[in-house]
Amino acid sequence: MLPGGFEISFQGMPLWIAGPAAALCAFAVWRYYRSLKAAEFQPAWLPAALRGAALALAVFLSAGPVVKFDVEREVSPRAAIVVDSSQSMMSKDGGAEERWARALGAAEEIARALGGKTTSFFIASDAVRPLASAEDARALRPVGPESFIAAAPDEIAKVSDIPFTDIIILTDGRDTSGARPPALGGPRAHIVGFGAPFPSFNAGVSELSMPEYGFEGEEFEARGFVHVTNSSGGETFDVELHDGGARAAAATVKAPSGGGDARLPFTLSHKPSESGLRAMTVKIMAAAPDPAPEDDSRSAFVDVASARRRLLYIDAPRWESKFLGAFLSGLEETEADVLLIGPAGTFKGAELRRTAASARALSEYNLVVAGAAAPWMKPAERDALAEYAERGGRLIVLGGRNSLAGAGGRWKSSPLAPGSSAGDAAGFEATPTPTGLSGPLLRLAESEADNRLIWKTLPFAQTFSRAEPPQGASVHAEHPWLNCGARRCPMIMDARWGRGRVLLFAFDGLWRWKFREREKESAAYDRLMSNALTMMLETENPAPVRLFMSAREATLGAMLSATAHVEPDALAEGETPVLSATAPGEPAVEIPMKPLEGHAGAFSAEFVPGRAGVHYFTALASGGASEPRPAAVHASPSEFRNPGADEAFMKRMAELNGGTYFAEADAGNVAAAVKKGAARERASVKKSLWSMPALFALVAALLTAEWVARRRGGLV
Amino acid sequence: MRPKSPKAKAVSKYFCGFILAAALAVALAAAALRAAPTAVKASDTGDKFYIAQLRYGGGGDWYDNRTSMPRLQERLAREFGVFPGAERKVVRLADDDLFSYPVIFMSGHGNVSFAPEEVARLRAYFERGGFLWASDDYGMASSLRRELKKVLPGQDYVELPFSHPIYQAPYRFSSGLPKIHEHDGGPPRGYALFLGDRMVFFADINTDIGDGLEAPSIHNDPPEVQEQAFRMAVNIVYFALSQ
Repeated sequence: MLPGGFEISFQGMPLWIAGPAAALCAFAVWRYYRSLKAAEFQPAWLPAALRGAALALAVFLSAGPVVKFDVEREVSPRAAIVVDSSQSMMSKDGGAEERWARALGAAEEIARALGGKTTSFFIASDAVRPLASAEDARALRPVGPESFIAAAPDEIAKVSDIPFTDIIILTDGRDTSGARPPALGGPRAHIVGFGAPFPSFNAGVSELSMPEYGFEGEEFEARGFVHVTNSSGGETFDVELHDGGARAAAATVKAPSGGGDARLPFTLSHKPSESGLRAMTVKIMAAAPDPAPEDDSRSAFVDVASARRRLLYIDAPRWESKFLGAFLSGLEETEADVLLIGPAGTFKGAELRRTAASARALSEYNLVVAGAAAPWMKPAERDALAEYAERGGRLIVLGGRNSLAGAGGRWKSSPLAPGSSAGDAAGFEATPTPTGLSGPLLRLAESEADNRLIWKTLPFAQTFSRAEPPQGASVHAEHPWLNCGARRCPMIMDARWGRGRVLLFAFDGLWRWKFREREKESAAYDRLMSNALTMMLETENPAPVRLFMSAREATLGAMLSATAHVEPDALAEGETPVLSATAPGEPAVEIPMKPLEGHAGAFSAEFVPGRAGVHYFTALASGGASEPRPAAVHASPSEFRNPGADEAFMKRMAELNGGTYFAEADAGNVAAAVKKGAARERASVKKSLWSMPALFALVAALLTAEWVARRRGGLV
Repeated sequence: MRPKSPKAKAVSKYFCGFILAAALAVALAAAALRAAPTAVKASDTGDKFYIAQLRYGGGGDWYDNRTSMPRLQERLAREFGVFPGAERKVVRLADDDLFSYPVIFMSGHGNVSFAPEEVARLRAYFERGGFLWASDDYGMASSLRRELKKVLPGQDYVELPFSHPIYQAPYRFSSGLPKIHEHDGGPPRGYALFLGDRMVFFADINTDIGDGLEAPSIHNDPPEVQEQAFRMAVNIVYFALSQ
């Protein structure tokens, strides 16, 4: 490579031919010179030099030389208009319009002034997304959880291959990644700032925690922090806990006298008086004007049980009963009786055998958990359990060797038939079905991704009970490769049995899930069992339309999945249910649900919440509606912690990148600034010398000059 | 073209055969991997009931009582209905499959020593619900006591009263541990360690229940003495399972 970006390369004759050819030419010219000298031609060097130059040029051209060099030229502006779509753009700054709407209006105006063909639209939060026009953005809500403004130009380069000359960012300017304003070294960056400038006061609820389960009349505690930004010092904040819509508890916290940022802990105690899934909302009652009210409240759910629950656990002494027995006995809200039997007789709970032999006596229990003790139960006890379920009782049956799933008598007509035990030396994983993953039973972690990960890391099973899912059963997990009837063998399944309900864990070895070395993994067992108990202890019988949400709590902008299970007689022919979603303070919207492939009677829909607060979802079919399912949607704490615009950041970013900072009111001047300082760009030019006639003319001229020289010397 | 020599033809034939065999082997291996995607995760304990024997450091004869656990597993199958493993499983505290055995057994006559990482692992094992039963073959009691103080600092052996449930069910031992073997004289003693309310360790000292479970030909114990050892062992495992 030569200096100045000049490069030459050869694309014609290869060098191994060009080299010898050049040598041959040099030899020929030398011979020619000698012959001229011999003929006493004066000056002998002139024709030889002319012929030599012509030959050298011809050899050079036949090697196909291509030269490349850089030139600098002026380019017409190509602008990327980027609108910040993070949640803080919802702020209204005391006016009627959100920053988002104002920024979109400004973006449209800039695009018009620049001419549509030279502009491209993007929205940016924690990632950048291209849009066809600013108008498309009007259908969206600014729900991005972060403002990664400094990274936006690089992200644009990843999603678009247009070499932009100018990037125009319309933002409130607070980069939540903590990055400094970057020097891009390429396009100019112009920033249009929205929002009140820094510093700005804000108070928000953060890190709220409360138990998932509670009891009617029993006190529980909600703990959390009031996060204060730019406190002037000494302010007090009233924090209230609302159960449903009613105020249930209150506390006051005080900011330190020194001012600045602070985390003020609070504890609120409450005795719920109503059972069911209760939405508990903690609110900061405005003591001072708060420019970002979006994070002033936060909700969570407490499943309030109406009374202490009683359950009976029947099993043989084995590893499963060691861990499950300890888990059930440790439940505060449940009174668990344990009956352990085996070939040698009754080991524990001899007094319960009379109860176990009578369906009427069993009805005192809210739930019976039946483990692997079938061979040592009396026929009357096995039949009593079956009758208990048929009359409306709730049963959890554990599979594997000696499982009740393989018992005879009334069990032959149970939803767990045929119930034979099957072993697999290789071991297998219980694989969640889409139905299972979308329902509450198999939810072992808050996020769907974490949940899938946990299911993949759980220990294997090696023995299971075969069952063919009856009509209407929900299969939550299945065997990865073995079929029972027409479909994979169910590993976790729930089904109606008469007026009751049965939940089958068809495989043996659940104790391995509990006996994990790491607490986090071991907790999956507790969570699954808690979910199973909650599901089975619901008071009402399964409704014809049942709805499950992928999460009870979600971040604004994160997708919520809803799955509905609809009994065949609840749907008209060709009908699919709709999901009714109600955001706080807004009318319900209806979203058509799509059939879940491979799962008869199951339908799904997705919903992206655009507002913070408690949302309610219902699945509607012509034959009925599901119970409303709530989901609490939270604003991103990092977005609202300090809602003020960071003017210094925006100015510095524009300055570092050859652009200009504009206040919102001056947005109309952006287009002029872009046009005024038209950028120059360096471009690379490639030229093939072979296709330049002038060079061939030069060869001809040299040869002609040589001929003329010879002629004048009398050699022609 | 020159015709190939017979030797060249043979080499060519073997070469083709080798290539075909290699391709077949690769295909079969791939098919096997597809057919058993989770096989690598399977435990060798399967759904069988094992009480593994602890292999510890320090020089003591951890390997004693070779027949005890398989015979106890067989007995527990008859009593509890579990599906017994037929062989003895040995496990070290550092082994990956330690957590496949909720109850482990140890015995010996000599010194016991746990490495620092084994101390932490045994602590985790106890915390997650594991239970260790030590049957002193006469000689390991003091070193084991010293090592367990590292696992559960601040705790020491608690001698269990005869009224403790471990002596009550399924078999009743109104005088506490039965005497199986006589070495140094003195009554048998049962000691325990607790994590919270849960017993995580039990030691039989001055009796050697582990020896009493061995095949009759090893110590020539009379059947009634062996039966006492089995009954006490059933009680210990039952207590570990049911507490």
